[in-house]
Amino acid sequence: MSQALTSGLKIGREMDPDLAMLTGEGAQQRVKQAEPDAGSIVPLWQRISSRPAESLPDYYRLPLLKEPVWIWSVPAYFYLGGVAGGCAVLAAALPGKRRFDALASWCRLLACAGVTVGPALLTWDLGKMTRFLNMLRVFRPSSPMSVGSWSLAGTGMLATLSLLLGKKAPSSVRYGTALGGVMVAGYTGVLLGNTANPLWLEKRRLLPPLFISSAIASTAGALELLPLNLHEEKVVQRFGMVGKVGEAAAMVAMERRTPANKEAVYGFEKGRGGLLWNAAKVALVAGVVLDLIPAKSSTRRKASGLLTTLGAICLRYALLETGKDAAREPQAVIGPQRRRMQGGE
Amino acid sequence: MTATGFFTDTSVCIGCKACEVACKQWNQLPADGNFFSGRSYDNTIHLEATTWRHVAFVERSLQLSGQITARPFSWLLMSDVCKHCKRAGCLEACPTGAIVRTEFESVYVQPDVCNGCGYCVVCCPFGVINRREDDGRAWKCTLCYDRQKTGGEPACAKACPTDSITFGKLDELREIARKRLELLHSRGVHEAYLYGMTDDDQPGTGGLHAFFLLLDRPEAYNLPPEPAVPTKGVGASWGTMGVAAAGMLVAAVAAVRSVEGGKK
Amino acid sequence: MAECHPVGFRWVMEAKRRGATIIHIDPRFTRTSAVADIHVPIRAGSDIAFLGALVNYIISNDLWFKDYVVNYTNAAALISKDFQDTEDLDGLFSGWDVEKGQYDPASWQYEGVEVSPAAGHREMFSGEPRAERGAIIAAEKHDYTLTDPKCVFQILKRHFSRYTAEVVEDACGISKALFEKVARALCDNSGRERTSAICYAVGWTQHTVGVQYIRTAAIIQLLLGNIGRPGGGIMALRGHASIQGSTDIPTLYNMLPGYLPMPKASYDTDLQKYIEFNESASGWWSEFPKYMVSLLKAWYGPAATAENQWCYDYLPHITGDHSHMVTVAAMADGFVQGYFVMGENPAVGSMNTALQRKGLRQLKWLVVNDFAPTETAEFWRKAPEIASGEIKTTDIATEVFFFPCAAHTEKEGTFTNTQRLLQWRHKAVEPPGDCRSDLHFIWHLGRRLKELYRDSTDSKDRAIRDLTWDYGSKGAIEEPEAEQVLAEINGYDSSEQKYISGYKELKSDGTTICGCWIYCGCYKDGVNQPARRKPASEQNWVAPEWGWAWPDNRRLLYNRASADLEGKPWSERKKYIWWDEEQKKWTGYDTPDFIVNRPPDYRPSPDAKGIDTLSGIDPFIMQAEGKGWLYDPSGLLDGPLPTHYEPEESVLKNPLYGQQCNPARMEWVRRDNPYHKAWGDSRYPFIATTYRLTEHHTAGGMSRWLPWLCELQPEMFIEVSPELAELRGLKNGGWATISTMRGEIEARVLVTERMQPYVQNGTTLHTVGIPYHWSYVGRSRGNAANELTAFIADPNVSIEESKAFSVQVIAGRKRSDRRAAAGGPLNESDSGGPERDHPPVQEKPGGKHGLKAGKTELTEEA
Ligand SMILES: Nc1nc2c(c(=O)[nH]1)N[C@H]1C(S)=C(S)[C@@H](COP(=O)(O)OP(=O)(O)OC[C@H]3O[C@@H](n4cnc5c(=O)[nH]c(N)nc54)[C@H](O)[C@@H]3O)O[C@H]1N2
Ligand SMILES: Nc1nc2c(c(=O)[nH]1)N[C@H]1C(S)=C(S)[C@@H](COP(=O)(O)OP(=O)(O)OC[C@H]3O[C@@H](n4cnc5c(=O)[nH]c(N)nc54)[C@H](O)[C@@H]3O)O[C@H]1N2
Ligand code: SF4
Ligand code: SF4
Ligand code: SF4
Ligand code: SF4
Ligand code: SF4
Ligand SMILES: [Mo]
Repeated sequence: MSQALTSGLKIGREMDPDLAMLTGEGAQQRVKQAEPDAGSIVPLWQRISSRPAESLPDYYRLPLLKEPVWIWSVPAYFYLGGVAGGCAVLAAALPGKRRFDALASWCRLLACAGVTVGPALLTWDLGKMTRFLNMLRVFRPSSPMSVGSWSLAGTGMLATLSLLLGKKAPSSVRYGTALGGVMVAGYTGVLLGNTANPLWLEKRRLLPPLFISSAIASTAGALELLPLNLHEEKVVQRFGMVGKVGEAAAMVAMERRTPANKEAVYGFEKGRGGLLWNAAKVALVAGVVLDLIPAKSSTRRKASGLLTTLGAICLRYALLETGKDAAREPQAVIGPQRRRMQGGE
Repeated sequence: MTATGFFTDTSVCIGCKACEVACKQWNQLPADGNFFSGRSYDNTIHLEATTWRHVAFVERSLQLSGQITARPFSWLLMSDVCKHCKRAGCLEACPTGAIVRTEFESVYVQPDVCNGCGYCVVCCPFGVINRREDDGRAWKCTLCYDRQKTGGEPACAKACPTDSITFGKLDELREIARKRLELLHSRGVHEAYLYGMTDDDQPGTGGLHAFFLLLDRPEAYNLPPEPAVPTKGVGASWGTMGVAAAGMLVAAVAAVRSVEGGKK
Repeated sequence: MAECHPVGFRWVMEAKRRGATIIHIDPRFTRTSAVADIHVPIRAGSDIAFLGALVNYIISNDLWFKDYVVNYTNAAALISKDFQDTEDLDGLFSGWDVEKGQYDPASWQYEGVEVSPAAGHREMFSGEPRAERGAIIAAEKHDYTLTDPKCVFQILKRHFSRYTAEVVEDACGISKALFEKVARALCDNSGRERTSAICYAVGWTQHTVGVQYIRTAAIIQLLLGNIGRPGGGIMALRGHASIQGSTDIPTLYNMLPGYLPMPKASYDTDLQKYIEFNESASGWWSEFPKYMVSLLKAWYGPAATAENQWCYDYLPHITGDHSHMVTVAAMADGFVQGYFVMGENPAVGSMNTALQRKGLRQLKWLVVNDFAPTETAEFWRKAPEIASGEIKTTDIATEVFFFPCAAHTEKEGTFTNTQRLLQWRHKAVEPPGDCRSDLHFIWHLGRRLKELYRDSTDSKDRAIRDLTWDYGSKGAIEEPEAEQVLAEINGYDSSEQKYISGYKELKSDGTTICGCWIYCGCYKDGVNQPARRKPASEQNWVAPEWGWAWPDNRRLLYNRASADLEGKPWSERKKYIWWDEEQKKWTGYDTPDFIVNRPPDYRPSPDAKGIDTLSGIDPFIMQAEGKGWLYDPSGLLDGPLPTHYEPEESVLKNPLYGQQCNPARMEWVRRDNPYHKAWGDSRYPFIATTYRLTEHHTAGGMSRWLPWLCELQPEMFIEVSPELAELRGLKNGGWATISTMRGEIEARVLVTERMQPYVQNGTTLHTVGIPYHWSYVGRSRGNAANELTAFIADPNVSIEESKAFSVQVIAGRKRSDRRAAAGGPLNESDSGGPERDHPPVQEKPGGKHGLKAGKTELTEEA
């Protein structure tokens, strides 16, 4: 048979006894390889009688929801979008004075870079470059992603214009870029909050402030790494401080578990998500501590910038990872919903 | 066109998986690989981008009322599918307009439009839709739009030997379901209830076009007890974002002003 | 039923919707149990104890249907004075021949007459046929008060009196309370107004007492008046598509089309003798010669004449038991040279697969006709013993030919289903490549053979030369016209030049030809009746115009029993056919299964002959005396009444009798087929039962190649209760090794409460559930369950016992240093084990059922 297959001779149904595959009808059947024999197959079966008799808590502890499918480039985009947004805002807030020129042009550059590299990263996740364009087929207000895409596209244009025109950009472009920037920095929080993911859903009010404050902090963190004059440094540091404090506050609030959402809000302590989350916390606090050291040194500033940036990046990844954890945990969905039902009854 | 949908009566499902296979065959979906799960007879485990029907096998050490067994035990079987929600998380979230509501009021993903952003995946409160690894697009049950177009019945319902899956006009299905529920209750099967039949049963989704008669709590079958379309209440998110955005603007201006002011 | 007949189960669910009570009796909690109202976990192999207790319950609580039983069954018949029951002989009936290891059924007969069974009798294995079997049945003696101790009813009552609810508890592991619930549900739903149906499949047949299981069910149904009435009956849920068709027009070695017995070499020496031994003086079998002559005319056409006995001598005459296991054992011993395997995969599906493969290795040539290169086709290079190196491919001389076959969608023809319904199937697509239908294969093989012998003058070749083989063919691949075959099966009247419209038109003068008398009418008026598809909504609820059912498009056999003695329906709810006094004929929703104009008050005169002996109240027209048999005076090799015997390999000593197993069972005592101790073999302490999963089909040739099915049940596994898992340290999802003396396999473990232990007489008995679909080729592979099973069979039908045997289970995978299955015992056999037979059978061992078994004298070597 195998020989007949390779020689292309048709003798029958062409079933290969080694592959057990049909050529012809059904040949497009690709079967994934069986998972390795190891522990993964051995399931979590428990003596069912040990379950409370009146009800089953879940279905063999299998996830009820789908995990987010996004790859690494999406949190990276979240971070860049934040920086871009913050820079756009800051650029607009700066008076057109010469001593802020450097900062302003950095801001314009970063804003423009952020909103152009960002979509590239998003598109990377989509797999095909042209696919991003589909986002612009329709405008769907109910979809934060649609709103975000349009904001991103608009802001991209404006930011590019700002960059090209530089100081000469009319204020409509400047303010427009800033407004777009706020959207870009913040909609991602709404985007996560507008999902069925139990963690993100539980924290849907907190996510936008977290993203925005973190965008401010990230902006400052990035700018702190750049050569700036003293005035500029001060602006950046003060702007950043607001963000960092806000971010810290939002993170504390994020972690808070209530009896109502205890299963959903748990991923911050363990696993990859927990590690990233804690790294983000440590980096943020360390950055703030460095900021508060009164000594003036560019190393200290750069170190603080670096820590803040690191913290902000870790935060984005932590949110994705903890979101995945929450989606994997059926009780994260069931518990809060059950209690809501009982509360409602 | 009138809305069509499914009424899945789990009390007569025999777990034969004909629906699963019929769906795969009609839609030419690949198998998900040979994976022995050890979870009763359920080896496909969940709905997937390449598994649009999935039969759950719930083993419980609990007697079903109306059933006599030697020891307290029952086996609940249930064929799960996309719910074609009245208010569909996936549809409302889709930024490309790939997900549309058809003339049969089902929720349909247009493969040529989907760009694989994956947002629908996190927005479905039932964990139904998913992105295929190979082609990167999102797939789920089409309610056999192609078959319905030519007046046909969805493949899964056609294959179902016991009519556990009943396909039809939604209002007629609701009538059938109500009668069936009444009958079961009159026969002492008190556990039976309808899941997601109308807006009243499931305000979060406005009711499902593929609804179920279940014999245990939803979570026993891996269904959410009180799902809601994420878009509901998202205003709060936009609200806090507005406040935070304002804060951002203020912070920027204030930061600049404070430095500028210091100079003056 | 839900597992294996999901589409048929649709109607069970429909009935449930309408309020029917579904009772499922199975060792395991299956998909059927999941939707049943009552699930009764029964120890595998103990159903006669359970069903016998139901008989006892019905009789002792006086719940039997009096009018029906007295008039429509043989309850009143008196049995020979020589008859002795198992009650008297501790588990044996009278007539046991210790020397021969078989029964002489003479003492089981009615007093004063001899009757023969309705179909497929096998008296050749139980002694010489009796010439006086044509005696007039009216001579039979009766006691219609049912009080004579020699009457069937009293014998039945005595026989089953020891089958009590306590016995059910001890033998079956079913609590008294549960038993009583079942008994009550069944009896409450039987009688004039209501009927209950019993459905079974191979959970009942694959035992050394399988036929008697079904006999017990028949007794219950007759006592409750559930036969011949709508909603009643015993449904044999058949296996493969058209397996019913393949017994009607059989692929069985001992039958000709329409249940005419195959001529036996030793005494059916000419047509006259053959007819004499097989026709019956009374009842429908009195028409026997018409069927036989018409069949011979169909096969040999003009060559068949009255002078040459219609070419009767051309037919092969059988010399002994040539059933599957007998043949394979002979094959392993080198007596068989060539083997056609068409639509079967014995290297997986048949018992003791190591022995099966040993047989295949001894062949000169093997033809496999299948979709896929199955294990049977690939045994010479993929079998476990090849993989392990115990046997080398180069040492196997068998030449294997593989012919790819067409699938059912690629050819036309009929399927005959469980309810005898023929349904025509149209071709949807052309078969790919060289794939051809079986009809194509056989027809062209026949054509080539005829070509080969065309000029032969040797008289022995005339059987091929005279064969009518003139079907037309069509298309590029010369596919024979299946409809012409159907037309020939239906039959043709050459004097009137028309298709026969029913078997009553058949004649024995050679003017009618008919390929299968029971199928007469399926091509009535030249119309393909099985192809009819009139929707249910356009006809009555019996739907006589959907397909075509044999005989005579009758949907319900023996339906005269649906009416009372006067011919009125027993109940208005259950009316089906009835006597129309005005028209003077039987009428109703279905074709009456009775002589249409025979009034209910007709009584035969003492000198009546043939079908005139049937009175107006004899609904069971295929039986010689027209009555349903509560007691079998003839036809069975293992007793006239069902008796509980333990399986060949049991975990229990027979709780009812000294006799442990069915004394008449078929055993193959040979080194490559060793048995465990009769009971209590400490090396093999657990009950094993094998079965199917909805997701796969039998030996896997049709399912383990399909990714869509493989993903649903991807690996060989066993099912065990949490209790057994704990006892043997088995982990869910982990591995287990299961062994018998015949072989050893590994499998995944599924721990589930659907399996449960039985506590019987204080001991806990555990069952290991083993699906049998896997083996060594295909997309999903695993060890084959039948490496474990043995050649051992029911004497009446040679069906294996794969539903109950003993095994050992240990945790972990199979050790690599253990021998792969190549035949031969895995362990030293334990000859000191407890006795199976009581009194010991002297000659049982020694391959009683091999080709050389010598039950009847063999006239030639194979
Ligand atoms: N999906 C699917 N359908 C099939 C087939 C298939 O392979 N797959 N095969 C077809 C064929 S060839 C056949 S013959 C039929 C067979 O159809 P079934 O007879 O229904 O098939 P099995 O699963 O072999 O056995 C039935 C049940 O008998 C139980 N059993 C075992 N021992 C005993 C006993 O002693 N007493 C009682 N009461 N029950 C017992 C088993 O636990 C099992 O659940 O199915 C046909 N349909
Ligand atoms: N342990 C254990 N063993 C058992 C049983 C059990 O319950 N337990 N059950 C027994 C029973 S009931 C049965 S029926 C047997 C079944 O055992 P087998 O009959 O040996 O097994 P199948 O896989 O059904 O084999 C049928 C083959 O026919 C092929 N086929 C399908 N259609 C066609 C066609 O049109 N033409 C041709 N030429 N080939 C075709 C298929 O591909 C398949 O390989 O197994 C028996 N063995
Ligand atoms: S169940 Fe999920 S995928 Fe289906 S329509 Fe509802 S939200 Fe969309
Ligand atoms: S993955 Fe496709 S269907 Fe889903 S939201 Fe994105 S574009 Fe819409
Ligand atoms: S409706 Fe069609 S696509 Fe949806 S599950 Fe059924 S068969 Fe599959
Ligand atoms: S086809 Fe019907 S009965 Fe079978 S598993 Fe699906 S829903 Fe249940
Ligand atoms: S496989 Fe075929 S025969 Fe068996 S249940 Fe399905 S449709 Fe019927
Ligand atoms: Mo079978």
